[in-house]
Amino acid sequence: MAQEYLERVKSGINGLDEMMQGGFPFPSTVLVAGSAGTGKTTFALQFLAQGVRDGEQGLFFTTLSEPTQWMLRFVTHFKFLDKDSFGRQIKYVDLGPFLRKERDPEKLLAFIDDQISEHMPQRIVIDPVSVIGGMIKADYRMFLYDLSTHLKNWRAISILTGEVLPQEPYPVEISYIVDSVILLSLGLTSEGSRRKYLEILKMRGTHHATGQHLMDVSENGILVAMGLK
Amino acid sequence: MSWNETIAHNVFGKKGLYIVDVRFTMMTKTLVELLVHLLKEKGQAGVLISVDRPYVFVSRLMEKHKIPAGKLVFVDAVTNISGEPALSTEKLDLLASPFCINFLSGFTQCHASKMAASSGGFVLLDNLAALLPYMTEECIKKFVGILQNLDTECIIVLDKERHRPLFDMLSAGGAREIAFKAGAIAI
Repeated sequence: MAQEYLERVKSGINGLDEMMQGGFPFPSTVLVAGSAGTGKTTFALQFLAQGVRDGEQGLFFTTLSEPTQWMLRFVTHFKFLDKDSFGRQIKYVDLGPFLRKERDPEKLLAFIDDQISEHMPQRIVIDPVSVIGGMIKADYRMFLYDLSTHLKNWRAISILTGEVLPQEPYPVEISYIVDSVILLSLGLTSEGSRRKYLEILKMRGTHHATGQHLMDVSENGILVAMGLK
Repeated sequence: MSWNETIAHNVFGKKGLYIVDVRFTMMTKTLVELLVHLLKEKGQAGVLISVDRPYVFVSRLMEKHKIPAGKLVFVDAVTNISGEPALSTEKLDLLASPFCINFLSGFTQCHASKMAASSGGFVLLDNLAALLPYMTEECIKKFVGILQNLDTECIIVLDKERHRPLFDMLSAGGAREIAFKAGAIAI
């Protein structure tokens, strides 16, 4: 029998799968962390778009980032995303109204479970998950633990995006709970211009590339140039 | 055999081992569709062997999609190592872990015999490949042998492309493959 028990799915990010043995382990939870403008939401959408191409159902949870109307206006300019897939192969759930009224982590988890059991997605995004910490009353780490466990038991690959301040490497509490951590960052070149970088900090069960790799974001999405630093 | 042929010839309902080949990402959806067909459309009794996740997640899916659970028994080998609570119910056998192959076989045989003695039923395994980290090839072969000799139909959902050796083992033992595409059954 094969010793490799892990199944893998394509990330949808050009150049990334080669850095991690062909794709994300399935099921698993992936933290994509970065400061503003580093491409977290673009990463998440490109990941869901790959799922659409593979015949998979996606479920996009937004927290208190931006309302649906504005998000959709900006993302539709990306060529990798089929606008018609929104609302069909990619379901969009705004957790904002729920979070405004309800701060009980058990009820929040039950709501998320309910949406997942209804739509049975293979790919899930929670963008960003980090704002929930400041809003729920009870133990944030306990919530993250339960969330991560549930997401995997629903048999999905989940991207959780995490906002960080420029000097903060990644949201520490989330990084301990998830299976993988990918960091998106901005750096200055020797010429003084800003470039974007991607680094796989951790990925359980995977022999992955290390270090920062140059990445570019265009209307075709994110492209990672492995080996270019 | 195609899914349409399966329905036309009422294949599910005849004793034997069946392999439903689906991509690994579609196992949950396929499981739900099969439960819709077997429990709701055909009204059969059944045993769901849960070795891939706590049974409570399948239970929730059934509740969400209005699949009647009255005739289904769960044999669960994961809950006790998952951290998830188990609800007390008479239609649930909990094993200490997926390593307990003898108990897994024993409970399955017991429930299958009860079903065979009454109006028949099905055994559905979620899912065979999930046993790979816990059992040797010999052990899995032995477990499959027990499933093959049950007096009821036994359905195994498997990604043939991903787990070819398992598929070959099942085929060599006389299992019949059913071509199924997730989405074939309306939920």
